[in-house]
Amino acid sequence: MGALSILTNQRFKGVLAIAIYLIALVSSLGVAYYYNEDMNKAKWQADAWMNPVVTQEEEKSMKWVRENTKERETFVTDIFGGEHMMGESLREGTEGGDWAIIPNVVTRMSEVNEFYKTSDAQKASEIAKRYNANYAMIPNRQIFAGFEWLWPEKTKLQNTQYFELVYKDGDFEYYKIK
Amino acid sequence: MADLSMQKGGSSELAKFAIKQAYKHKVIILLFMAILLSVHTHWMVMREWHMPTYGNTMIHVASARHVIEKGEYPLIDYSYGGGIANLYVPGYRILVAVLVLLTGLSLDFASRLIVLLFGIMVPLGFFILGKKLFGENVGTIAAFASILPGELLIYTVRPLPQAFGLALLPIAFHAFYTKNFRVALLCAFAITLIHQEAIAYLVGGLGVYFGFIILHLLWKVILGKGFDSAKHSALLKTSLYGILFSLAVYLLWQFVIIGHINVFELAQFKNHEGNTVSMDSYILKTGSLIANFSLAGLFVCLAIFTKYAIDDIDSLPSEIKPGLRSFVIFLFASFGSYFVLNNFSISRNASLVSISFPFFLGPLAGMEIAAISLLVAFFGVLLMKVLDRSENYQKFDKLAYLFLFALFFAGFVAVKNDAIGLRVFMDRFLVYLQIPLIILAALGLNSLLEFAREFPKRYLQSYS
Repeated sequence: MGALSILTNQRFKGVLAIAIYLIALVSSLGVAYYYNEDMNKAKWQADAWMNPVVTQEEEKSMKWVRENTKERETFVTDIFGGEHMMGESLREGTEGGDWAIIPNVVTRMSEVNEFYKTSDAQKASEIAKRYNANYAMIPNRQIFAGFEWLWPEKTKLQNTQYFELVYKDGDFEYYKIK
Repeated sequence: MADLSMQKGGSSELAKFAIKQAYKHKVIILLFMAILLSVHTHWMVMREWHMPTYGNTMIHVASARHVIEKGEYPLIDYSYGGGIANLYVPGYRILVAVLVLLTGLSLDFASRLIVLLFGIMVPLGFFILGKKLFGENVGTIAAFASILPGELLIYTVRPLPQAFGLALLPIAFHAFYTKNFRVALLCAFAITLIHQEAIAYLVGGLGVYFGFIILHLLWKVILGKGFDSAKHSALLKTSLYGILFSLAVYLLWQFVIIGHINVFELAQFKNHEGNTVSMDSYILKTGSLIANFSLAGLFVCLAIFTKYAIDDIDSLPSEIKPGLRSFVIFLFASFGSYFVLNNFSISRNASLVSISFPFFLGPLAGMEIAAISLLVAFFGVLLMKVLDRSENYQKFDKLAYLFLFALFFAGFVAVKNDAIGLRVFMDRFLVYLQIPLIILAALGLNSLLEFAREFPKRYLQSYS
């Protein structure tokens, strides 16, 4: 009876009602705080995907590509270079695009990665020819061919028996595969 | 002086008028604010000198450029040295090409502009779906909630067909739920030709809804209860036609491009593309508010189903029905609370590394979790008692809960099918699971607000 009389007491009910409104108010402030936190976290996560990766020299070179190579010409490229090239010039890269529809794509990625990594000119040339590439893009950035980010190894490109420099803008270069 | 007081009186009247108008149009104003917030989060796409290239964005630019320069859609893909059929559905690419042809904008700028359009469409879509299912309040909360999941932002802030598919899905679900046949089929057609995964989720969601309606009808038949055959027949027809139409459009496209209709031959299936989703990455990519409040929404759905099911069983004495229902709700709430407090895990001592619970309570011991879960379970029972009496909640169609739960179930199976050894899609479908999670979170938060509104009123009335 005692507990019930407290529950039915008008003052108690008033206090309880105020308590519920206060809890709702404080919780709303908490929700607002975490709303801001979650939104910032979302922006932080998305921000990592905003990098264009490709360089302005790469973009600039598209004019030369369009003027000096045939449509759908194949270049040795990494993923980002190949996709940028197809989008800007309708040429093709040894890498880049919808990998899920490509047969033996992992082997291809591994070999293109090796093209950029090796200092062996003959080996690099053989890889390029295996994938019908007549040119190689040597970007002024790290490349990503599916496994690791790395700077292109350039000494092999000095071997004129296999490679011929056809375009240069600072450190950005195209070589013709001989 | 007189002029000044008149001026003061005038400005006070103006302020009153403005406040009155703002209150009258509060939903539109709030929706506008949600859209502004969404555009704000999507604005990052404008920041760099070039559009984002992560996520194969440029392969779509290639096809769009081909359309612009050649006047035809490329049937051979530009990917990985070419020579492969261009299986990717063409809708988004053609849209970009048309926008460029109409406006003369660069492909880069047009692609980014479309992202801002997605930024506007996302909260709008969630608003109309949430509003139709559970009223204006849930719609408005859902519009704001749609800004929070990191994964949803990642996939809508880049110029990708998937972004367009995601922006259209809530609108398509709205059309199917309201049985607006023409708009539903138009949306299904558009999504089918925009993004394969988006249509897979639409078909999956409708398929599960179809299955749930069949189960519901079976339940009614077994218990000898009647049902509205015209209403259920229309629901089944809309879902079934949507599924068949989407499949037909996609399979026709696949047949034209690669000459067969066996989707299981596709590399995505063969390679079991996708990675498992851990609870940590789920919470990080979904956001703690959505993760927590969606559980509250899920609880409300399950409690409604429980009431519905128990009420249907005539063989149960009517005196024990409320108690039985409260007991089941108590179990749901206590288990859900334990799960959240135990760091979104059912393993013992998982809470020792607290990464998810939004308040700093420190590591919780088992007894503390049990005590809090007990309180939450009592609160859950009380919450449902209040919601049962709420006039607002009485207006909601029970099918809305079923529809939302079906979308959740379809997304959950797509994400966690590694548990049954299937291992397809998984993390690739987390962003689709977030569609029902956003509405569930809005329902959960709205239910708590409804409690705060209704409980003092009801309590004071019932005991005075």
